Amino acid sequence: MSILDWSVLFGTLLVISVYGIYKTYGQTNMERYLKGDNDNWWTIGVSIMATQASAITFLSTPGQAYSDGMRFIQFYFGLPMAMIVLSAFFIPIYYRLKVYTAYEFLESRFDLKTRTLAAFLFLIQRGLAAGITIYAPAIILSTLLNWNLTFTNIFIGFGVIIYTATGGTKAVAITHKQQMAVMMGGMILAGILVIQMLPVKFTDALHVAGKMDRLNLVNFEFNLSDRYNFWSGMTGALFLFLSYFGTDQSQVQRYLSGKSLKQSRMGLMMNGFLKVPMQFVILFIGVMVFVFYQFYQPPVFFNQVQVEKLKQSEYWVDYQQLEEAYQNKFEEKNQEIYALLDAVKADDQAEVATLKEKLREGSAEQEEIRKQVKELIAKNDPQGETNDTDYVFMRFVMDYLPKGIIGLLFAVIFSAAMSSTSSELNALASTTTVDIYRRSLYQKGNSKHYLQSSKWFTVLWGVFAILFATYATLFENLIQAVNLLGSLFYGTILGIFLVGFFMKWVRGHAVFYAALISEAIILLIHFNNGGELMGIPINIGYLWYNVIGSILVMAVAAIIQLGMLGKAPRDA
Amino acid sequence: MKNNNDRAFWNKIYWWQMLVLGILVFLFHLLTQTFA
Repeated sequence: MSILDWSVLFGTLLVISVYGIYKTYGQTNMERYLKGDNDNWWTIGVSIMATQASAITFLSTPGQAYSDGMRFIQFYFGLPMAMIVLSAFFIPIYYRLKVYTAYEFLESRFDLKTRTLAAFLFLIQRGLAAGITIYAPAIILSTLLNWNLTFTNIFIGFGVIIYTATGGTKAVAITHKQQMAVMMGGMILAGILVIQMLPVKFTDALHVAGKMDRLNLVNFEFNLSDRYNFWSGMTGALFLFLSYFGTDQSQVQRYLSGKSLKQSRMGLMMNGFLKVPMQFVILFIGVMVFVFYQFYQPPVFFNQVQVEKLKQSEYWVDYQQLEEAYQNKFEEKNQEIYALLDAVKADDQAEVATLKEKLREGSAEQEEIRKQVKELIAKNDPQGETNDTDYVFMRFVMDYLPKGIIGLLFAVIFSAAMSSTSSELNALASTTTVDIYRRSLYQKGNSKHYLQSSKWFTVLWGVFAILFATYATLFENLIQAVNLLGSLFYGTILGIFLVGFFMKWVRGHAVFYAALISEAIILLIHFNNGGELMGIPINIGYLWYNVIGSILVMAVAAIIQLGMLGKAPRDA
Repeated sequence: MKNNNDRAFWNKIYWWQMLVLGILVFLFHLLTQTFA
C-alpha cells in the first residue's frame, strides 16, 4: 500500500472516532446515554443498517458471489416482512412501556426470572459474538496488511471503546452515519471501477456471468436441504430477522432512540426498502470481479501468505506445475468465452449451449486444480486456512484498483467492523446495567451512578471482546460454536417474545419453563443433527432452528399453561 | 379518528414495502432468466 492509501485509511478512521467523541463528550444524562438523542427516521434507518453490516459482510459477500453466484440474496427476502411485523406489533409495545431494553418488556408482561433469562441468553451470545465481530475480519486484515493479529484487534476495538463509552447511544448513531457513507461510497466506487476495467461491454459481461451460473438470483423450487431459495428466505430467514431485529438489544436500542413511534417505524421501513438492493449491489460487485477474472489471469489461491509459505517449502515445484495447468485452462476458457459472446450475438442457441457446457467443464477442472493446491497448503501447514473466499475481493482491490482507492476500501472494512462492534458494546453495557445490575444487584444508585456504570460496562465488554479476539485462535472449535450460538438461542428468545405479544393468556411460569424445555430440545436436535434422534433421521439447516425454537416455545407454553389451569383459561 | 387514519397510513406503507419486494423479486427473476 502507498502512503496515500495509509493516509486515507488512518485519516478516515481517526476523523470518525474523534468526531464521535467530540460531539458527545461530557454526557451527563443517563436517559440520553442509553436511549440516544431523539433521532429522526433516517438516522435510525442508517444506524440499523450499519449495525447489521459487519466487516464480514463486505469481505465474504463478494467472494461468495464470485464462487457461488448471487443466490445468497434470497436470504434477505424475509427482511421487509420482518420489518412490517416489528413495526406493527413490537415497537408500539416497547414505546408504550417506555423501556430501555427489550428484556424489560418481559418483566412487565411475565416476571423477573423470564426477563433475566432472556437478558442472560443475550449477554452470553452477543458478548461472545462481539469478540468474533473483531476477530473474524482481524485475521483476514492482518494477513492482507501484514500486521500483527493482536495489534489489528486493538486497532479495531480501541477507538470504538472510547467513543462508545464516552457518548453511548448518541455516539454510536453519529458515527454510524459517517461509517455508512464510507461503506456505500467505497463499494459503489469499487463497482464502477471494476465495470470500467472490463474489456467487454456491460451487457456482454452480464452474458458471461449468466451463462457461467453467477446470476442465479431467484430459485422458486422448494427444497429443504437447499440453503438459499425463495421459500427458505421468506420463512426461515423471516424468523431469524424477527428475532435479530425484534429481540436483540443491539438492534432494538437503535430504533428505541427515535424521536417518536412514527420515526422509529419509518427507520425500520427504510431498512426494509434498502436492504435487498444494498445486498444486491455487494453481490453484483463480486460477480463483476468474477467476470473480470475471466479475462485477466486470477491467482490459483487468493490468500497470498499461504502461497508464500509454499514457496519456502518442498511443495513449491508441485505448486508451480499446478499453477501452469491452471493458467493453461484459463487461456482455453478465455477463447471459449469470446466464442460464446460471438454465438450470443449471432443468436446461435445450439452453439451457446455447447460452449456453456464446455465452460462448465473447464471451471470444474480449474476447481479440481484448486483443490489440489489446497491439499498442498494443508500438507505444508496443517493449521493453514484453505478457504480463500474471504480474500477474493480485497486481493482484487489490492492488485488492480488505483492508489488511494485501496486505502478507502480498507477503510470500508474497518468501518464496518467498528459500526457493528459499537452497537454491540452499547447494547451489552445497557443490558448489563439495566437488566442485571440496576434490577437485581444494586438498586440504590442514582442516575449518575448508573450512567458511570454503563460507561464502565462498555469498557469492560470492549476489553473482553478484544481479549477474546486475541486468544480465539487457540480455540478453533469455540469460534465455530459461537457462530452457531446465534442460531441455537434466537428461536427460543423470539418464542418468549411472541408468547408475550400474541398469547396474552400465558403467564410467566409457563413461558419460563417452556423456554428451558425448548432450548433443551433445540440443543438435542443440534447435537444429533446429521444422525438420528430416537430413530428419526435428522438433517435440518441451521436457519430452521429459529422456526422450530419459536414454535416450540409457543406450543409448550400453551400446554403448560393449560395444564396449570386444568382447563382453558377464562381470562383469555 | 386519528387512530384510524394512522392505521390506514401504515397499512399503505406496508403494502408499498411488499410491492417493492415483489417488484425486486420479479426483476431478479427476469435477470436470472434473461442471461442464463
